[in-house]
Amino acid sequence: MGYQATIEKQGMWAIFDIKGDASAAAKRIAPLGLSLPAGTNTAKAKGGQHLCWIGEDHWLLLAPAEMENELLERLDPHHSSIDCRIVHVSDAYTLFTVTGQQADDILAIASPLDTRRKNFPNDGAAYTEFFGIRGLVLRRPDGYLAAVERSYADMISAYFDKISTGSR
Amino acid sequence: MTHNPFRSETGGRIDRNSPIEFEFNGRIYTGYQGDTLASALLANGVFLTARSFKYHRPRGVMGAGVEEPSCLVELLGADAGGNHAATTVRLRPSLRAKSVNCWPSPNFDLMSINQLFARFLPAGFYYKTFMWPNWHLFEPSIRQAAGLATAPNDQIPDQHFETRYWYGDALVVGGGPCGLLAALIASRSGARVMIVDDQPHPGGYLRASQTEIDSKPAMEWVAAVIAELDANPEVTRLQDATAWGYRESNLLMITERSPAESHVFQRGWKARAGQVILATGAIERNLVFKNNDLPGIMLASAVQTYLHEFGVIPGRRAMIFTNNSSAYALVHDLLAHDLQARNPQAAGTVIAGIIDSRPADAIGAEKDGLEIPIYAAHQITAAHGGKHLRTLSIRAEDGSIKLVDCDLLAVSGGWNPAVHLFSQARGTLAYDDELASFVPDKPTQRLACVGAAAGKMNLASALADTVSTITASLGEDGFEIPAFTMPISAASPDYHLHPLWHVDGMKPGDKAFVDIQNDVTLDDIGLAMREGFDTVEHVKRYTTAGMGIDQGKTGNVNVIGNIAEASAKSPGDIGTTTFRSPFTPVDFGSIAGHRNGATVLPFRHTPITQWNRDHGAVMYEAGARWQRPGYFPIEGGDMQDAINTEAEAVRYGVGVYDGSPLGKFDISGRDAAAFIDLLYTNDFGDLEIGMGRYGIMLTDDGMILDDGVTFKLAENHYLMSTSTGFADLVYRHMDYLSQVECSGWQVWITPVTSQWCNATICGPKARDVVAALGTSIDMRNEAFPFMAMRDGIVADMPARVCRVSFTGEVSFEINVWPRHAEAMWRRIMEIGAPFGIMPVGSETSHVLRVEKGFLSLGHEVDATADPYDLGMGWIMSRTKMHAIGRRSVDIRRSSGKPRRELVGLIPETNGELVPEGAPITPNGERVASEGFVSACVWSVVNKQAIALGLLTNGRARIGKTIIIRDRERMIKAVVTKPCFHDPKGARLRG
Amino acid sequence: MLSLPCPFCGQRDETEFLNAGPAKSARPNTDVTDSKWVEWLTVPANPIGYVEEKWWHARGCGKWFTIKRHTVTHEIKMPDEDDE
Repeated sequence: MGYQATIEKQGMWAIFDIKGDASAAAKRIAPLGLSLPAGTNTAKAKGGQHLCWIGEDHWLLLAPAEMENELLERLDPHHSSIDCRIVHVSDAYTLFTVTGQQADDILAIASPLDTRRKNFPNDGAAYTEFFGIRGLVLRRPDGYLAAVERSYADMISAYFDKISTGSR
Repeated sequence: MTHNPFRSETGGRIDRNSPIEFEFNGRIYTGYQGDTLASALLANGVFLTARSFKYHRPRGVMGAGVEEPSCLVELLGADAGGNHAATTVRLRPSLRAKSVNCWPSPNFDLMSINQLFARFLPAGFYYKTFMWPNWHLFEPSIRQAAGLATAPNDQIPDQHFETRYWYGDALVVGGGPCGLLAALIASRSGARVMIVDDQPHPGGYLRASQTEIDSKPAMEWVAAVIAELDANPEVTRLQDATAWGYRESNLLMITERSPAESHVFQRGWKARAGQVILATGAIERNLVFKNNDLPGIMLASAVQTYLHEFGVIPGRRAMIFTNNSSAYALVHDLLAHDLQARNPQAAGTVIAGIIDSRPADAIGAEKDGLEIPIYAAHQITAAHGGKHLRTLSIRAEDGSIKLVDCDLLAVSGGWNPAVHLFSQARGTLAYDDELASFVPDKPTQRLACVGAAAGKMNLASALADTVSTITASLGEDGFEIPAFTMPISAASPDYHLHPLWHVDGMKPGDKAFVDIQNDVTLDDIGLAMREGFDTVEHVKRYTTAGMGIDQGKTGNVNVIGNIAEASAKSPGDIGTTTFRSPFTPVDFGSIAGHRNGATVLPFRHTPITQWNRDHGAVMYEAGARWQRPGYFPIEGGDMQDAINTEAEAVRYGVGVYDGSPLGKFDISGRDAAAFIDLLYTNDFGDLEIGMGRYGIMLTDDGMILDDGVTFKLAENHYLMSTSTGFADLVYRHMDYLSQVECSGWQVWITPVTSQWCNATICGPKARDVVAALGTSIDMRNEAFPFMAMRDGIVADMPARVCRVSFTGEVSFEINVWPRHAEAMWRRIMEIGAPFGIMPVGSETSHVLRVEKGFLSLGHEVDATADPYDLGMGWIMSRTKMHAIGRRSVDIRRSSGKPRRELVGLIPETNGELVPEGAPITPNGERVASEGFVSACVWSVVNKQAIALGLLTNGRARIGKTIIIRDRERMIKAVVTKPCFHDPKGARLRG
Repeated sequence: MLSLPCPFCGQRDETEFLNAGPAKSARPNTDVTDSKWVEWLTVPANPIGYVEEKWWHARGCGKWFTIKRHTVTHEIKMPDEDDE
């Protein structure tokens, strides 16, 4: 019963919200060896980090939790740079992975995002509706990564349980 | 051998090796896998299957699909549902069904007495009769008499509804020849294609005909097309699925009734395509003559379907009544089936003749080879029979009447292109004189109609037209169609029709139905028009024609034709009523999908939610979908006792509450200070770093949007807190201003509500508890004053502590990252235990803020109040005329009209609480109110019930007595200042 | 349910957006007359035909943008396109 898909709630990630002028943002993240993604709603991945271009003058950096202290130091989010603002938001999100051969079915139920490759390529990363709330969706080789506001995580888990099985 | 007396021995596409027992109206019958409920009933000789809606006349099956106007059933059991057409219910083991509209049974129906009173139940009867005192008094008994089905209660075990999205290049609706061809061409071009067919198996009308394509039976061509489509991974083929709604931007709403996945009961698709191809075919319409609703009278196309699909011939002696050429195919098909041989249990089905309203010289090749009587230029004036058709009165051109016996009459009044979806898409319709029906005219979305849906009634030319249409429209989207061999269909007689909106020679009072399901007769149309309801929309509403579950699929064009004839206009001038979704009835579940049970509404949790539950808190939503503890029940006490205990802890000891849901925004950028000044009505310019200030923001029309405290973290860097319930609205307001009106400004707004959790420790012993937790922050009042904010370490965790107070007591908001929140909370409860700390729920927070007269949005602030009304004129800066909402407040107040002002109230109730929202009226009279009670609580410090309210000219009435009306009860209350505790605020600054 | 052209994300389903009503002209200065202010505040365009509307990509990138939507056919154009 249910779909051939594995849904897993992730532990902490290190997450930083970056807003401002593109050249200033590029300068701030350069020490990490990262550059800004070229296409809107795409992500640049490096060493487990994903830098997502998710809005006009707006990026989100997702990185493994063990990098958090290093990133807090190197990005200096409390530094009030004139043309760029970085806010530490690791705790504001909960992440889920959706993998397996029917991951697309799960996503088609969860979200109105048009995931055809021409609209959402292999490095796609975009905010969309996710079970009625705002959620960030990244494509991965084996499926998807979804990030939602933490306070909704229990609700999203309940939705996932429901749609991936026969339970009501 | 199953006793199916009206089933031919061979033929049909049912699986004769799989008999299925089912129950109908309490009796057990047998049909076969592949049957519908309707075909199985007909095969069993069950012809009287329903009673009509208004007159409770005997009715049987008339159609074979979604057009069925007559035989509605209610399904019983776990997958129960009401008002299904029996023609669309697939037979399955353990199916149980019963007729609607009849009690106790269709054979013995008590309400059929309505027929005797028919002349008292004309069109508009309900409007005229049940107007006084109001309709709702009568509705329940009328509903029972009408007998429409009841809503199901049970849930389907182990299955659920699902909804999902689909995007593609081409979406084809209809699995008939033109739909299949369109899907085939589209799929070969490399497009992503969906084809939706409402039948369980593809083929459309080809399944009910002897047509050949490429010199082979047409169904062989269908099988080859399906094989190719199914092999293409870019093609999604849905069978037994209805596209029932055509929304904006080429979005189709589809309900799939038998998904392949066993855990899905029904699936709702929201499918959006670059272009839509409507190959929805055409629906046969009825003919209007006396008693045209008797069981035994069926649509000719339905009889063909029963013959070809189900091997059922529902009569022994058949007549045809037509005004067009298409019904002749049925005669050819029936004869070809060698009736004598296939109906051995009876004398066989004899075709007694064809009654054709067209003159002899208008009848063309369709009659070639037929050796049965054809009554050209004849009409049926009446059908006769009690519960089944027995005899027809046939009228010749000269008016002479002849009686003919038969038990099956196949009627065809011509074909209506199924323009429902086209019209839902806001496409316009045109009247086609040759078809005597409406055809698609100008589309407003990217769609094309092909085949009979486009009014193309000849298969060969319809197929050719489909190819050119699809090639052109896909070409516009850059798809190339590879070389393609046209399927060649056998030549067929041209479709030809003479409109016949009703037969001649009927008398007033004859029951000749234009809308079978709603029991609307030709007389009713005439009555409506005589009473002045002479447009089609008025006729519909006055007579209810077209309002049934079938939405008048077989009858609407006859209604229009008859209005046109009565008013000497063309049907094209009359026009149609609006085609609305759904095309066929839809289960709500297929729209709601997985949103049921616990996920009907969104909900939010904090890291403390589980602790609250473990400690017995009564949880409910308290704004913005946050589940919060209302109160913590105490042993041997009721809810009020629990609230009093919590409130006393805060007033006299120490309490703690989870303040995490409070909205929080990080605001920075070169112009952040100017932005804050624009938002709030009061000045923030002189705010020092590390300090916070209470502010009120207004909407442009001068109403209070939100209140909250904003801290200055650094130059041009602020942390704004908002009320829980309005955080999203405030964000929208700020984001709009920053992007649209202040687009040149540098302001960055980042929601950080979920990046920070807080435990707010409040009460006279709060400082002692924080100190006991251990902190790096200098907690002395002079070092850490009221409204200040400090970063440091608390209980070995990084924390940001704010001194604000929503309770009136000294309070410390301990903000930590959510990863630390539960640990911090547990430490506070543990370290605070010796101080008698208590967790406090939202009920107690409400009590504490009412005692202090602090505002609550949604209580005192209800989108009519401005700050002056609330006694907060001081918050309206004298210099900031440009602050949002300021201008509107000034304009409104310049009228000098009396305003409702915030006051305190002490009701004389001996402690009983007054319901919130209770009106205050002048002298307690039953007249327009002069205010209302916005909140009422038991005050632990005052030991009495206290209230806040908004009262006209309230501040001038302090000390006076007013009267609250709680329905018929009058409650006196003394007006006071809106603060009942520590009016100078010494305690919260302490 | 519309499909809307977000300037940043491209075509997206309407459920991702919030409609913020007809687009307003620029906010008047504080010295405008009361009646002009009230008119700016409360009188929106309501034609049979194209109306300029504000939409917020609330569940997407967060962009505020203006489109022209036909009030009968729901056809959508960008503000700088001709009405035909």
